[in-house]
Amino acid sequence: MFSTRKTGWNKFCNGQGVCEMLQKWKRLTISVICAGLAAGVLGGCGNAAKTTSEGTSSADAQSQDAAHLNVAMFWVSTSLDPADGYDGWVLSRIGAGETLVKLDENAEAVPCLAESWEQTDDYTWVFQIREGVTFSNGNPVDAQACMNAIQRAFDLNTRSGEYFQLESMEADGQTLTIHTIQPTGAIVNNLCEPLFTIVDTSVDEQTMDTAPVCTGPYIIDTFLPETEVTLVCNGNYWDGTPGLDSISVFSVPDSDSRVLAMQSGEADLTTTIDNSNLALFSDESQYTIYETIGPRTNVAYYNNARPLLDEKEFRQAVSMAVDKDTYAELIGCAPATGLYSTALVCGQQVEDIYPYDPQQASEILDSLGYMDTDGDGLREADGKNIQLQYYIAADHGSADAAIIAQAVQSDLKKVGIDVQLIQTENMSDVRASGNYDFCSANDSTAPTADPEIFLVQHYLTGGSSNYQQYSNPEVDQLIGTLSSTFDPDQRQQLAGEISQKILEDAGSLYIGYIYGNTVTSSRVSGAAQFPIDYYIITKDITIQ
Amino acid sequence: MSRIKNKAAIRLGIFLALALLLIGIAVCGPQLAPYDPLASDYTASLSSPDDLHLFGTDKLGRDILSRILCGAGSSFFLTFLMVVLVTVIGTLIGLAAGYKGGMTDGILMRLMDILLAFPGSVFAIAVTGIIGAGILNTVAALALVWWTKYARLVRSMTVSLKDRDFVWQARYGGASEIKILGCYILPEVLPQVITMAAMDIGNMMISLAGLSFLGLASQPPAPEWGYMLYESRQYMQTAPWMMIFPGLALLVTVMVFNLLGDSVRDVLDPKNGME
Repeated sequence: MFSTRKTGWNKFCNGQGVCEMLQKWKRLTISVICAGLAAGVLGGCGNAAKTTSEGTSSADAQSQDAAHLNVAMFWVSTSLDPADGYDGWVLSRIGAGETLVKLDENAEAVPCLAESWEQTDDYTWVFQIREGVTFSNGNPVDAQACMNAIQRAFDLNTRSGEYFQLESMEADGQTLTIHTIQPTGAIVNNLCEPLFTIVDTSVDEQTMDTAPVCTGPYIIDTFLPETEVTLVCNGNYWDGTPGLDSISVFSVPDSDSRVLAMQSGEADLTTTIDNSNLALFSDESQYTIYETIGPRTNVAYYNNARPLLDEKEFRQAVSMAVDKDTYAELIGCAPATGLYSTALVCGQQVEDIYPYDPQQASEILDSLGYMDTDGDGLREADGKNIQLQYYIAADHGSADAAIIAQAVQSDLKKVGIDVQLIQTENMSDVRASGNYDFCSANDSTAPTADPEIFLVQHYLTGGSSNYQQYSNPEVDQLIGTLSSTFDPDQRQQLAGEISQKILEDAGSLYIGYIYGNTVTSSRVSGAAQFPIDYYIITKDITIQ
Repeated sequence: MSRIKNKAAIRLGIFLALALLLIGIAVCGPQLAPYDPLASDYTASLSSPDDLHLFGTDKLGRDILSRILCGAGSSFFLTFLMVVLVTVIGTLIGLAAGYKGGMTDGILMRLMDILLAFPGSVFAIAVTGIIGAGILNTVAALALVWWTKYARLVRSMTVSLKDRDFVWQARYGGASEIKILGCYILPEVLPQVITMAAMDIGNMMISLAGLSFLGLASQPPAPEWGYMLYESRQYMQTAPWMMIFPGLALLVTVMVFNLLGDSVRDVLDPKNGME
């Protein structure tokens, strides 16, 4: 496992120019790492080693000239049924599942299984299903098959209703008509959500968990829940010949273990490497890094209903007192302004109105009457030192939340506000209890590259995830307008305005927009990092 | 005094001096630290060790040396708190069970069997999971696991001591139960308990650091060795100094206390005295 570590170090040294320093530490580090591994301190590594040994054996089984790709994936689900939880995301990422519409490199909806669509009235959408597409078992993909698959998603997963409310569907040859209960401007984007993967519902329902029959470039061969998926090329694929013969996808939840798997050559492709470790792959002759900003953001939610934070000016002062651009740089994000990342048009038009200005923050706090009267460096409210509680959870396996929280704590102390950091394993309970001042999150603010659903859930008064208790009647009204606006450009414009309004209210503290990354060995070509992370394995990936 | 005993006493002296030195450093940590352990300096993020920062800095630009020095205090204090807790609880329960026998013994022993049935760390993780993460909660959880060992030792010694002649004589002389336990049995038991406690200090420190590593004990931004190791995990290859120095601090401390424990055992071992 450590035989290739040397090259890993040298790579880093060349890239960073701190070679001498590191050489000094090198030997010591390796022994410490070995000791750490031996002591079983690093939870993730055991898993990596296990999957690796399996990986090698299955890779050996492939003949020399067969194009086989080993993928270290951060998440392999318990089932592959697209209608089960978020399992469809895995199905889509491994190149097996496809939807009617997909999101391209610019996060725009482009035809996939549906070659075109039109809106006939506020409630009715007509999709033309591509001719000549078959499921991997040879069954034709017609409007009826698509309708059955979408109906199945609505029957089995309550999340479906959050994307659009289905009135009825009609299938006629290759024409699929969808009637919605509410006007739903986001329907085309929302059909890209892998929950609406087109699966063959005519096969035995029992196989849906382990080997759903779909239309993607690869077919599921074997599946071990939360461990490994192997795939083979789909000879019936409708969009050209896939570039690989077979793929092994291993579950490696720990980022450091994925780094080691890439360095040792056990994996040819991996994603979601911690920013701090990307420099290890900077040698272009050995690795390729694909990076792009996605819709995911690092955010600290204010509890808008708690004393102090229920005052708009107080929240604004806090927003000004934190040097969020520096934090973003520190953790390798793009500095955030509003709630949408710059991956979306609506995210590019929001103007930051809280540049770092501790002086002004102090003045606002003074004017609100929160002064430090007893000279202990902390401001008081009602005679007691202000202390805010900041809950942190390691969201999506990232340590960023803890770094941001400590930086916020340090900066707020400078303006006389004490922040208590509390780590929690169960953030949803903390949110539900409403017993917090700040809570960390790593949220995708436009999961289907459409801005509406996140607003409805997080900022609409009474929204299903509005645990920050944000409420602004003007924003509520604008969200209503957004739902019944159908022109994509107008939707982006409107979403940008809403985002600006929420920013003026200092509704939440957005820190940074997260770069998604994919790292491949130089043997692999044709990979890409999509802004919306539904896609990892595509037909275009090849290996030498 | 025999030659072996003499050698052991010298060893004890050396390790006791080293342990006291470490405790001294821990107590004076905040005064010795060149920087504020909580002060972040984003411009110095992940600096490698140099003249300014002898042990380098972490992601937030905090000085590792200062964090180690200030973290020592809490590590030591909590470990000693735990040692005191488990020895006192374990000894009291062991005395009661061993001396009273019967029902009391039965109930206490079965309770211990139940606690011993779980692997220690796993049980401590479960307890902290229920009562919530936090440094004192973790000490309580670990104490709940560790006292059984002392109770068992004290109980078995008490059972064999309580029928010895000198105890009977005290009893005939009209000594109360408390007096018998306190003045006659406890002094016999204490050297063994002290030996065991001395040898456990290192283990307890490692257990605490382990739970901190899992995010269950110390809360950020408090400098704590186990949590520092956890924070360094991500930077294992890019900023190894974040892992090496807290690891070394832990290694050296645990080693000194383990060797001290060994020496205490050698000195108090009755076999050495008889030679």
